[in-house]
Amino acid sequence: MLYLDHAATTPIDESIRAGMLKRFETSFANPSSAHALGRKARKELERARHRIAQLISAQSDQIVFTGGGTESLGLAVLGSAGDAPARIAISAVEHSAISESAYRLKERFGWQLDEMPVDELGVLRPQTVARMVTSQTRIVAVMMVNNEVGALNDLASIAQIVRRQAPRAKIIVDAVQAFAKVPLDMGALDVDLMAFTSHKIHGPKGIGGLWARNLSALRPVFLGGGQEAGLRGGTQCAVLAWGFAEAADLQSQAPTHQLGRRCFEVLKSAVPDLELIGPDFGASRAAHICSVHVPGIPTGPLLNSLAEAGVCCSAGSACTRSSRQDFSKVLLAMQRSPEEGAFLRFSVGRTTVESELAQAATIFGRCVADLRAVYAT
Amino acid sequence: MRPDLLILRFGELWLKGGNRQDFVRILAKRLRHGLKAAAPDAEVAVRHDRIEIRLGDGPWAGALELARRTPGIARVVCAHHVERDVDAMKMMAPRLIQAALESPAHRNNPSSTFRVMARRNDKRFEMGSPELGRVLAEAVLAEFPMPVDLRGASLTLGCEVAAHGSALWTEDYVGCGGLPVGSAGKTLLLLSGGIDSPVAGHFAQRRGCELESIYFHSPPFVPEDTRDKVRELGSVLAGAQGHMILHSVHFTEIQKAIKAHCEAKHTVLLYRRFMYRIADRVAKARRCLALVTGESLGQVASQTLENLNIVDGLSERFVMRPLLTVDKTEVMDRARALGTYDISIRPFDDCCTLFVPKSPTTRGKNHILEAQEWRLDVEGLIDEAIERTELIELSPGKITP
Repeated sequence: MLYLDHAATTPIDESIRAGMLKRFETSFANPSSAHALGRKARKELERARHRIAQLISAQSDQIVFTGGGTESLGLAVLGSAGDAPARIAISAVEHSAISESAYRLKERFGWQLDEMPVDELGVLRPQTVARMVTSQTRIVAVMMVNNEVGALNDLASIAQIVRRQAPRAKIIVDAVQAFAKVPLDMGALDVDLMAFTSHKIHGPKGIGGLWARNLSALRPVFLGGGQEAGLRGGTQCAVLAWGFAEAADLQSQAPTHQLGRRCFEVLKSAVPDLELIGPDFGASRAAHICSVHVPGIPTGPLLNSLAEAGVCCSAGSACTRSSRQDFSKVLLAMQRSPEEGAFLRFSVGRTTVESELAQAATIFGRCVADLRAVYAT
Repeated sequence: MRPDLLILRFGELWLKGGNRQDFVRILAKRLRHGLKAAAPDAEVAVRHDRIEIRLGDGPWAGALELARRTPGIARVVCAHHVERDVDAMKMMAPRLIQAALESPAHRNNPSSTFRVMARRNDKRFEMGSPELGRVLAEAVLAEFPMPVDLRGASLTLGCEVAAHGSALWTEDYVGCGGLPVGSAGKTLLLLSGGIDSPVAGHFAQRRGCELESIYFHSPPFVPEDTRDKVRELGSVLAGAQGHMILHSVHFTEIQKAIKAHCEAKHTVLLYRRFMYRIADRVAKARRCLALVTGESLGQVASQTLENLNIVDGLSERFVMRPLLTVDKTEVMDRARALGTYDISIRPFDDCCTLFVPKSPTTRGKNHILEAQEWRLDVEGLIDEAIERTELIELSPGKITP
């Protein structure tokens, strides 16, 4: 199997898995318990929170652990929405965790939803934000790295505009694809909330985090025993938290790799008319996401042939079909259409090696050629 | 109240003359097989005019479900065995009525009406049917006064006295009806991921046909999800016969050849001609006596009378089309009742829509299609497709590769 779908999820790091297995025996207790084992688990949990806080130049009491990225984003949007309907602005390429929460505010609570268009590279331009955000806007949600095309947004400029035009707005950042891969300094970045998760960086699934400049300004979405600053009731898992912190450290210490760029180069050598989707590799693109356009053949059959040959990648985010109604919302926002051909996302991780890319490229070239032979007639 | 006996009544099976015993034997065998998984400690007993399932102490809901879904059974009664004694019956009757009145169906119904339907099958019993009914009604009404309605009561107490014992009940369900699976012989169902073909298969099963099924798979143009869906649909049909074989034909090369060499507007009809030929070959090899399809007149371009004529002569075997004149909404209702609808509507394409132009021909002509096929190595393509056919064994509710 050639696993090139790290933007969907990553295999857990060997050392983390081993460390977690050990801790399932020693740190299993309920961190809220008063006994020695409970205190031990509590220490483990808080140490993990501290490590993550340090990594993004934040305070421990600004971070809550959640079940993952979607939950963090839902809590950020629904938890910062006040009772009175107002306006929420989101980019047109947000993950469904943001867009569905925003639709909820619109449908159920009468908010006005402003969808901010992106440019043809998938980037939300600051001038678009300047056009769309008003003094009535109370929430602005923007992703740092787009999960389908890797476009990196200039959050500092966007935040500056929002502060000027919508001083009462909360700025929510979806950093799920960026966390521990792109430098994050919450002291310097003028935003209010930021969501991130563990399983995209070779950590365990089932845990994510939400950073808030001021946690007490948030309201819980569901109620419970008051854990996680009252924002996420339920027994905490110190072992998952440890795995998450460990994954964050390992990922941030890993050298910035060029494998995404390399991935595109080898694929293009197999299929010369291959087009990179999104910004060029460099300052405006996350290094791990390589989205491509293959002219002349539909997405579904190409994805299926690659899967059959053992290459794991994605079409859009996770969808396998090529009809218009199933076409990626992100690509539609970038003015692309399914009639243009196949759109695939390859994404690399710390475990990816160059020889895998070469193998995948060979298979890719063969699959594309086979399908073109069919569709050309 | 937990019943201890299911009484399974035959529908038209009862009308069968000399070979009724064969039908009943097939039915009992089917039930015994199904009960192994559904209710392992239940036992099947064949009586003169019915089959009884004696429920053990284990779970029994699966036995009721099995009985209701098994072709050949018209009604299923959830009964309580009682001694052949009027006093014992008089004791039991009010308890059953009490349980029924406390059940969700009657709990909030202040206008429950009542009747007794008593039957004395064993003429040696001390009391006649009308009198027995009266006695039991008095026993019930003394404790639970309710208006009596002999025609359409909301609550009916059933009572039957047979030579080997007597039974009382308040729950009585409609069964699947028809004839036992296998009594008519074996057929081959052309199964797709759509709504119609599973219903067609179910109808054939209800007329006594045991099914094997054949599916045309076209990787990579059709995702594996589609085949998973077909397997799941097949395992629903397997429920009525214990297991079912699915022949998964590798159809890709045929579709590619048609795409490369034939005119686009004939694509679907050419696909179907290949499907019929392949199904006929597989049916012959597997000793299936007929093909079963989900075709419905006029539903899509390929199912006009003209286009059905185009494929009809291609099978040596008789082709059963149970849905041919059935309205689509009825088919959908049947699919819902069968439990296949929600599986069928999952949005995965199947091979029929592949490379198909927006307006395919609705009036195909044999000589034109034959001319198109001249451009292809028809026999070679069929041989290869059959060569690459996978045999998949489907069990009820679960799938074994």
